[in-house]
Amino acid sequence: MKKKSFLLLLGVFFLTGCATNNSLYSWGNYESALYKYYKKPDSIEGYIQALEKAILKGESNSNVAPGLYAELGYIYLEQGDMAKAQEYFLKEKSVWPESTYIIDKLIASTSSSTSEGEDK
Amino acid sequence: MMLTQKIKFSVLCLGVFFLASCATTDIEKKDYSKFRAADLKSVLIVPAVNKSIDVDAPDYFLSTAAKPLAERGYYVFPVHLVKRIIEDDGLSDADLVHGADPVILAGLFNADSVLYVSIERWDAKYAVFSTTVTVEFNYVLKSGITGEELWQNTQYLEYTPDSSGNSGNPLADLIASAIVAAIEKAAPSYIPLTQQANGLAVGSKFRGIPAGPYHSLYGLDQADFEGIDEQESEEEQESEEEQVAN
Repeated sequence: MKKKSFLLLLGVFFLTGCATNNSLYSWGNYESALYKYYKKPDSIEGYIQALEKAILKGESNSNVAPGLYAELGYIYLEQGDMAKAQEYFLKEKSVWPESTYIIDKLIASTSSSTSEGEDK
Repeated sequence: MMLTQKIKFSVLCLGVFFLASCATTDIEKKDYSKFRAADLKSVLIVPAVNKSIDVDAPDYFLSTAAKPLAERGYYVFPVHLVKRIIEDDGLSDADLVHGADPVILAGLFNADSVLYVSIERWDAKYAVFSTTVTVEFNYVLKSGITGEELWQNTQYLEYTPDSSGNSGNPLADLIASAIVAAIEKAAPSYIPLTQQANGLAVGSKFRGIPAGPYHSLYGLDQADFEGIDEQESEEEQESEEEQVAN
């Protein structure tokens, strides 16, 4: 039984191995970095770096994965860096028109907070 | 006499094989008509409902959820951003999210569809010389426009590291097994198992999710999911036979 399940798993490994070779997008370490961030919420710097790296690689291969720009933009939004948040939100919207509605809402929220900041 | 009996028997076997293969494809076959008609472009993955006792399972699951669906050719809304926005909207509990109207949830993001995942199993059974890690997920995809169910699937996977070494030294094998089991106990391999489960759930033929608009097979994979090519060729054969009979 053990041998069988191991062989099955080995087969699955090979199958998934093939699948990742034909990836549509550059994901970098997005998955493991998000996992680590959930495991240790103070490891947000590692998550940011993983997103930046995955985006850079994706840009050089012109295959940035859907959602990565917006994930990074949202972290900057939470950190109060509205300029960077807007920059990445706009990139998400320009590559993925499906995100237009939510990105417009998010950008509206960043511009209202930046104008508040300028008032002060 | 013997020969004809053998032939009869092998024909019978062949018939049984055909019947058996027909039966399994009939059971496996899903109805993709609603899914195809919806012509989805985007998927909103909401936080998973947890039926395991591991409170961290939903977050860990979420880290693996986007990639397989995006690789099927769909725009997947950024899962962490979605989680935070939904929490800000007052739905911090996944059970509340899953109970909410899919049309309203989808409307928050203008998504075509909503994927609900329920974590059925996420556990590890420890023993001295072996550890078995098990995950099981139930996936339901609903339309963001009508709210109706478009697809559902269940995926079960378990993993027991093969620690039955064959070094020829039984004591060394026993120690090796204990070490492998201890490693698995310290860090159960939920994530690789979950990645595989997600990949199988959405990528398997006849039960996964057909290719979306960003995939090269978009609109060209009916044979892989509905088995339409086979039906067509059968129909062609039948009509040919009718013509011959006429």
